[in-house]
Amino acid sequence: MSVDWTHVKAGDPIESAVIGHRVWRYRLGPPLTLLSFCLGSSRPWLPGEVYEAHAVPRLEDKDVVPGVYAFRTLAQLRRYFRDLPGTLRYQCVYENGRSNPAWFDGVVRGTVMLWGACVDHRLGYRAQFARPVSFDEIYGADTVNVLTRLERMFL
Amino acid sequence: MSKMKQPYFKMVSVQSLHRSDAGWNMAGIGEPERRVVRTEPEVPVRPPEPVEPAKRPEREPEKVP
Repeated sequence: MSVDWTHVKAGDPIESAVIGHRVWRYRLGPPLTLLSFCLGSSRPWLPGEVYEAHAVPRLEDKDVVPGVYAFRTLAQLRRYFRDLPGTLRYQCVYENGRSNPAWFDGVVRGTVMLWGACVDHRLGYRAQFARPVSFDEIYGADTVNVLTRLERMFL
Repeated sequence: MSKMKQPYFKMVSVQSLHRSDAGWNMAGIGEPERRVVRTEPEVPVRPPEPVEPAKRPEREPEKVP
C-alpha cells in the first residue's frame, strides 16, 4: 500500500521507510493469528497484506493516538518490556475466556517496516502502514512450530 | 473464610493497559517530535544497529521408545 499523497502537507519531510522493534500476540487457532500486543485490539495482521492504522497519525494527536507503534531500538523495547515472558500473565486478562479479544497463546518480538504518514517519537514511531520484517524471540505455546509458520506466512 | 489470593487477571483491565489500536500507549515511545512522510522501499532493509541473535526455541529431542 503506497502513500496517500493527499495527506502530505507542504513542508513535510519525505524519507524512506524505517524499521522499528515491536511485540505481537499470537493465537494458535486454527487459524494461527497474529495480533498487535494492544490487548484491546482483536484485529489480526494478515499474511501478504499491509497492516494499516485506523487513522492517519498526526503530530497533534491526543488521548487515543492512532498508528502502528514500534520502538527505535531493541534496547528501548527491552526497557519497556523488561520481562517479555512475563507478559504471558495477561493471557487471560478477562475471566470470560476465549470470547474476549484480549486472550492469546503467546508473544513474539520482532521488527516491522513502517511507512506512510509517520510521527517520529523520542523513543519510537507511529506509522500509517506496516508489515513484519522479522520474528526474533517467542514465548508461549508451541513456539517452535509457531515461529516457523509465522516466518512462512509473513516474511 | 480463608483469604484466597486473587488471580492477577481480576485486578487489571484492558483499557488501563493499552489504549492505542496498534501497539502501546504513547508513554512507551516517548514524546512526539516530528511528522514525516515515509515511502515504502522495494527491498526490506535491516535496522542499522547491531541486533542480538534471534532467540529461537529449541525442539525437544524425540523420545526413543
